[in-house]
Amino acid sequence: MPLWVPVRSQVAPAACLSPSPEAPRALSLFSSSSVFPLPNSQCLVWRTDLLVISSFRMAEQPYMVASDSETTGDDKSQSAFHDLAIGIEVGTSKCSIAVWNGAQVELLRNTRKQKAMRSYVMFKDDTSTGEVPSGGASNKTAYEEKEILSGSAIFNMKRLIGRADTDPIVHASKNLPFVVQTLDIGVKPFIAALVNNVWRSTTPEEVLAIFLVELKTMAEVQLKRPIRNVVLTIPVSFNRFQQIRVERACTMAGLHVLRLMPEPTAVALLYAQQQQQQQQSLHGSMGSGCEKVALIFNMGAGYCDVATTATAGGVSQIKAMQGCTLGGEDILKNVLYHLLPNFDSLYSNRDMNKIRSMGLLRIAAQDAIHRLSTQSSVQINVDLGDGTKMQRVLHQSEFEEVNRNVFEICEKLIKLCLADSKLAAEDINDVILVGGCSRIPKIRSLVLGLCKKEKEYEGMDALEAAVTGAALEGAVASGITDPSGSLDMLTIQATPLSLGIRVHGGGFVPIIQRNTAIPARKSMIFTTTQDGQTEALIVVYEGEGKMVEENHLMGYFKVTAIPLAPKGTAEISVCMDIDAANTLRVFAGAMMLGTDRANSPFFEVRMPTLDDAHGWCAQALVKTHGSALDLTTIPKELQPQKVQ
Amino acid sequence: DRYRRRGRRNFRIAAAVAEKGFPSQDDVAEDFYAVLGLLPDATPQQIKKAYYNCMKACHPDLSGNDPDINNFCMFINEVYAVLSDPIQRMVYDEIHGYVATAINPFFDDCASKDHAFVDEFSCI
Repeated sequence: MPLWVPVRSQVAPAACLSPSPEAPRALSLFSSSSVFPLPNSQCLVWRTDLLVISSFRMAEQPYMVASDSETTGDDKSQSAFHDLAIGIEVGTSKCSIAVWNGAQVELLRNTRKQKAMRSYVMFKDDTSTGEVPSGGASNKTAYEEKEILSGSAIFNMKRLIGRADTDPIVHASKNLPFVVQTLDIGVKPFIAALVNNVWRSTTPEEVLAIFLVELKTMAEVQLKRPIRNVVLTIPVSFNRFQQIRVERACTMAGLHVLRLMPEPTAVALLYAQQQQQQQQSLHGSMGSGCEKVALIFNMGAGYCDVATTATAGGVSQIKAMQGCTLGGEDILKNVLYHLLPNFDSLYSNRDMNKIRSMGLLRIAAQDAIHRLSTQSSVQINVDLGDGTKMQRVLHQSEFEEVNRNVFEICEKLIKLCLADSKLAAEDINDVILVGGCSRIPKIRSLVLGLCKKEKEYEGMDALEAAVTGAALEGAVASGITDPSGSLDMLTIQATPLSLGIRVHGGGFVPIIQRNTAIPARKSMIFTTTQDGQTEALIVVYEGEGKMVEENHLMGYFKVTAIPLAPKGTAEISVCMDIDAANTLRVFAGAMMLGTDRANSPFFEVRMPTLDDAHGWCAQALVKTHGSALDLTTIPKELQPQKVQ
Repeated sequence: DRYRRRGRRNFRIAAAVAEKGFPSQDDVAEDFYAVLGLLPDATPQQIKKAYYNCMKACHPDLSGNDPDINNFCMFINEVYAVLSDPIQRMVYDEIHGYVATAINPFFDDCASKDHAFVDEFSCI
């Protein structure tokens, strides 16, 4: 009887590779100085801004952080943590920064000793210091919520960034104290803050950048080193267009984004670390086989995310993710409209008094919602200043009734996420509830009920988990190791949204399905829809809709040199890949008839290629070209079976 | 350039599968079990563990975002996607002759010769 020896198995996969030990080189503004000068933050704002503008003109290239000089080898020896990326969570409402301090993750505090800082930027005209806006992390002035709601501050930038003026979320933001104008033509909305009784325009990216500069300065002062690399958490539902806007804001602030991490995956990494440490202390050895599965529910002021993760031995594998733009803001809006049914008509003219009373009502409603987390009813007493007073009781049952749609969406997301990850409630070991809205009793009971659990996972701070996970990822991805093994971690990310192309008739065909582990590469073969068609449009979309108009247009390009053939016979290969840094590339071209060889050089396009006016482009393409350049799918059995 | 080679290989496999329902030499050269250091009778737990270990050894997050590392990692993700899904694994096993009822390919004339296995006797 012969012995079968799978020879290749003796080659360890790692040995096939020679990973380059060279870490991404840090770019630093202050590279050559050993004593870090505490910069005047304002000066830094405009300086980095100016530096970056030139790189903006270069459009589609990856956004490199502009710098005076690159770090040399000498600098690296100065500190082991020189390149260490910090974790930042910019929430719709609050924001926090965390960093690996050599033994554990530590959250930074501002001068007011706050770990969670209000996310906003105040625009004030002050001729003595120049027109420098300042944000919630600023250590100079603490603005009161009333002032933030006066029209002079911009907040909720996370809800506005990267959205067109046709977006319902942008429309819903019109009831905020600052100006949000829409023309419904698919371009960037106009936003403006009140400065000296004038509405001065800005953009969500600019506001976010100003805010990030403050955070950066604050961290630099405390850590006594320049900060360049960051791991930033983002909502699951952020499309690539929104991600690019966030990256751009970071670039404007002089920060290099090492990773954009969906919030629940950051929480999952923290969970993986806690599980590993627990197993190590139980068994004394490296936490080995025992796998744990957790469902993470994260709901803050702006977004709701659900994810499932499986973890063993410090590896956190994201099984599925679901997210949508739903959060405390929507709950607050529902309550405001419940308290004041004619809210819209009351505040449409935006005079100063109306803005002030709207602000007061917002504060009262928010406070009531917070108190309803522990009380069954609350008394609302608010003097709106314009002669109207509101005095009433809000019951928890009333609150739950007006927010029924919110809870229904939460439920749907959880069910979808469980189905996507092929998990039943019984397979879940832990339910992790994070984010401000997870404190709402109805939401807790809903999530726990769907997962058939009595209790939620303990040992995680609901408001700090995501930023802590981001800081962990920052340390891991910066190549920091820890003797205790607490950084011996890895997140295997998945892509939350499907990526695919438009086919004849306006249908969307996903090439990379959602929840595919990344890095990933998938390809599909398409064919022509016209006899003798020599060119085809590859129109790339991201999303889950069956029709392209429900999804986000990422970009388009034309495949040329398709051999002359009757319709349905020529073959066009479209390959998409996402690397570990989440960069999407589309690679497409026509094949020679009846062969597996390219007819002419393929096209490689980094996506998204679009900037503004993406709503227009799709319509313009259809209008100009009709279906002349359309592609269609070929039968499944002729598709490549796997990517190798 | 690398993409094109890969693209072509996809194509060849696709063609091979479609025409004969049989693996090509190319395909066999990429033995999914061997890549993860496993035998074809590995349990789902063993597959998962091998996948995690492999990812820890080669994930770009830990070893630098190099194109080759990314490519290898993409391949491992693909391998795991197939082997962790009972249906896809069954199909893969069927095509590659790893099913429980399979006959020793060295005694089976119908089976294609396989680089991944060595007949010890013929080596002597």
